[in-house]
Amino acid sequence: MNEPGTRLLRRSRATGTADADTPSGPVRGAGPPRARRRTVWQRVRRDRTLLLLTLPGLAFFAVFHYLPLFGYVVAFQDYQPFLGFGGSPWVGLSNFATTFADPAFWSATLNTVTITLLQLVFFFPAPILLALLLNSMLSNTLRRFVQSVVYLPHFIGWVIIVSISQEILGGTGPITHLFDALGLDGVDLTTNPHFFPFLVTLQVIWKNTGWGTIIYLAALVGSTSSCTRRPRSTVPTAGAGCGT
Amino acid sequence: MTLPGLLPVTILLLILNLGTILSVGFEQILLQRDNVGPEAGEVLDTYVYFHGIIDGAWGPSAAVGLVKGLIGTGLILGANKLAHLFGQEGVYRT
Repeated sequence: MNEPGTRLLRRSRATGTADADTPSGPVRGAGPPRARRRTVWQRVRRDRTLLLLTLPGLAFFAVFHYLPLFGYVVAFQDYQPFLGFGGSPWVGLSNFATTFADPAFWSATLNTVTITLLQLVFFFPAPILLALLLNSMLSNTLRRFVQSVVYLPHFIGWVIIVSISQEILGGTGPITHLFDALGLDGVDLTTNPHFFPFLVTLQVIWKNTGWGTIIYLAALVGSTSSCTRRPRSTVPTAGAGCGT
Repeated sequence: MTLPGLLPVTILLLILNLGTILSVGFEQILLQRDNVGPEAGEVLDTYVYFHGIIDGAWGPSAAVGLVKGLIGTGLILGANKLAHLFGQEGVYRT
């Protein structure tokens, strides 16, 4: 009874990574506690190279994402930079009371929510539509060229994009001249508070739509390849709906 | 007709975007805030910058950041649960 168990264990160790994790092999034959203890150490020892390789990534997240979370103690302190986290007096929730009593905070929240909703409605679907358009292009050369071109604005800094948008939409730009010719004098979209959320959304669409297509195009490549496999198995009509 | 194929990715990105829903571009807004004035041009990130860094109100600004983070976390958790209720994969399963 012991013999096949150890043989299984040895085989699973020999075949490598995935087999030793599944309990069916070692547990059935050899005693469960002994097999389990050896498996844990085995797994650490066996994967020590991989575990070592995860260390830089773990260190990155620890240092730049988890450690800064402790900075939130400032929210509960009357923080003085020269006294530091340890020396600053604790004030409970009074910082929150101060913030929520400030009308400027609620004004900023309202503006943020307006802009974020506009971006959710107008910016979020834009990369999906562009990815579908790109995906349906017949010429591969042309598609790759267009793809490369639409990525570019992502790498342009905000200063430049805001400058360009002020040249085009600002008081001396073509849009203002167009409105002038139509009899609407003094239209300046860059200084209009009511247009501001739309202006910001337009700039974000111009900058990041192309960049956002990357992940959707990858998903489209994945879904079309799974579509070519699907008709063979369960749903015979699914192939028709899968398009190109 | 490839929209159904994009649905899982779309939901995944939507849920992830909900986490940063209260962070609309800082640099972009800061550059144009003075054009329209603080009433229309102030967002939470610039509010934190001007009240926290410029005016030195560290505590209240950190409180704003914490509220932003908590709302984002709540939206991600809620949206992920909602996606599961609609039979979608969402971001993760526990």
